Amino acid sequence: MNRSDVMDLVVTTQQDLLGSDPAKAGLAIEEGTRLYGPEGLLDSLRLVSLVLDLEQEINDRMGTAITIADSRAMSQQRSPFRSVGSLADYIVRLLAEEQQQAA
Amino acid sequence: MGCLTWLFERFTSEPGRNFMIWRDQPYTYAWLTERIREWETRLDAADVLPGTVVAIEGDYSPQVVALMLALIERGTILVPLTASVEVHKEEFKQIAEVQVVIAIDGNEQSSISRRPTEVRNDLTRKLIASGDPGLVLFSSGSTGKSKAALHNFIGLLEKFKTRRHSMVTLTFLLLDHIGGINTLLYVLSNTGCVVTVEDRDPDRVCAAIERHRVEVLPTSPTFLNLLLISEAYKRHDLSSLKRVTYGTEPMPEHTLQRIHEILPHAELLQTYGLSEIGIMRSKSRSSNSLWVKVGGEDFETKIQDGTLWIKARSAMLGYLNAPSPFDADGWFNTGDAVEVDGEYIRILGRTSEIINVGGQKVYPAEVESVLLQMPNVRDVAVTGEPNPITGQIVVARFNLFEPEDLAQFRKRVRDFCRDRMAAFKIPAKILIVENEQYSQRFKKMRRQPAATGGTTHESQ
Repeated sequence: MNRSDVMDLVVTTQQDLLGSDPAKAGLAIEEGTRLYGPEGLLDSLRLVSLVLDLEQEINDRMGTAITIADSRAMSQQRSPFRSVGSLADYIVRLLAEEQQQAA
Repeated sequence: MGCLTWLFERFTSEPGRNFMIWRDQPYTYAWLTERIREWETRLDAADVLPGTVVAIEGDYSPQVVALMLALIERGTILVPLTASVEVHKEEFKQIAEVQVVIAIDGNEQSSISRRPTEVRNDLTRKLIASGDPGLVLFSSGSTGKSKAALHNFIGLLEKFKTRRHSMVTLTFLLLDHIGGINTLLYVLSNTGCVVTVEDRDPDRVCAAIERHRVEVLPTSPTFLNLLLISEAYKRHDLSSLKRVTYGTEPMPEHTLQRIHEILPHAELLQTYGLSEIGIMRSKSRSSNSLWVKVGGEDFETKIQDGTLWIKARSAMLGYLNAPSPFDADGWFNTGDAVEVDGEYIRILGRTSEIINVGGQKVYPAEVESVLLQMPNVRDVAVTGEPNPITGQIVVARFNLFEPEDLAQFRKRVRDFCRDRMAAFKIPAKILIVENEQYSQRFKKMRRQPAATGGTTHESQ
């Protein structure tokens, strides 16, 4: 998966999660879209679901075992969960590390 | 006479101080004293006698606080009901045998209505006979059915007679929660100020801290995680915070360390309380330590088989609708697994199958019974799993009749749950499994791991 695949997956997974919320369905989701907090698209419970859905989807597709939300993610100086783009970056980083370890 | 004379004297000695900031407006102790007097007149006129069971419908507001104090002073049995329990209100009124309902709406307008109810419960009758004021708090029972804990209010008030620091305290705990009552009584008894916020959004909470120079923030590990994720602390000045307390669920080590880094000037303290026993005074070994000493003069603790037991002077009299949970000597099994190091303990989590999502309890059986109503679902097992953001999450493993696409199925489950259960109960992780789950479920549910932090992986 390259970054644009990851980005697509983050967007579609988020759209699926918001699909049944008429107030938020159909909103544009872009690089800079905030996930949580002021102007964020998700509440805390949906953020947790998004991360878990992504983990499951990526690990299924790639045969990997990455963990997106763990103590490491929570200890970052800049939260990976700031925006759609920063989450995609973080996932790409995790996938690259996993590949390196496998090699 | 009156059991709150000591408290009202403290109010009159500080008339000009604010007791509450509500919707960004200040209200003084002189205002509060005046409103309590008005309520006394109104309660006289409405013939609300001592020993009456009175429900207060309304969220944290200056009028609700004035009314509560007037009702305690009068020796009534209080049943606080907030909007968060809307669907259960009628059931709760019946369980508590409510006789008078006083509703205060969002504009501070109030109405008093009567219900033709006779108090039959022996515990309540005994309390009424003693003349002491009471408090009924609802907590979830092991089957998901709510239990009503009856307290003698005098027992809860006792520890507040000792003067402590007066501080500006922000609260988003509600008044139908033991923590909300505890925070309010602590602040009022030290003529401090309560700052209320409309919701728990990290930015709104931080904005209120900055604007009102809040010194104490009673909160939960989940809120602190969301504070980190939202980075709201970067957009607001939180330097007024002197103390952050957290309870209701185990604290992940990494959250504590990060909060300590971003709030180096604040003391981080763990609290421990339950609706059945009240809130204990506690002392963390240090701000970045999860080891805590609990107790205080009114509490005794012991560890039995790795589980914390408590004997408290402020313990409830009993449940109104369930057998007494106390053993013959008055000890209460908290169901919390703990580690011990000398006089310090570390709380690991629940020993039972109860799932704790951000401090809110979820009963697997309750969620399973809803999910089983879905078309194409043959069986489902609901368990908890550690999560670094909300402490635990709800995981549902489904057996289906016909195969379905997982992404579509996930969506279907969440749509189905939306109107049928509270958001925190909706499974965050949804799995379709092939194997039968009976043995797996029993094993999983009876032996829930008590770890904090770190997600586990399922390969299905």
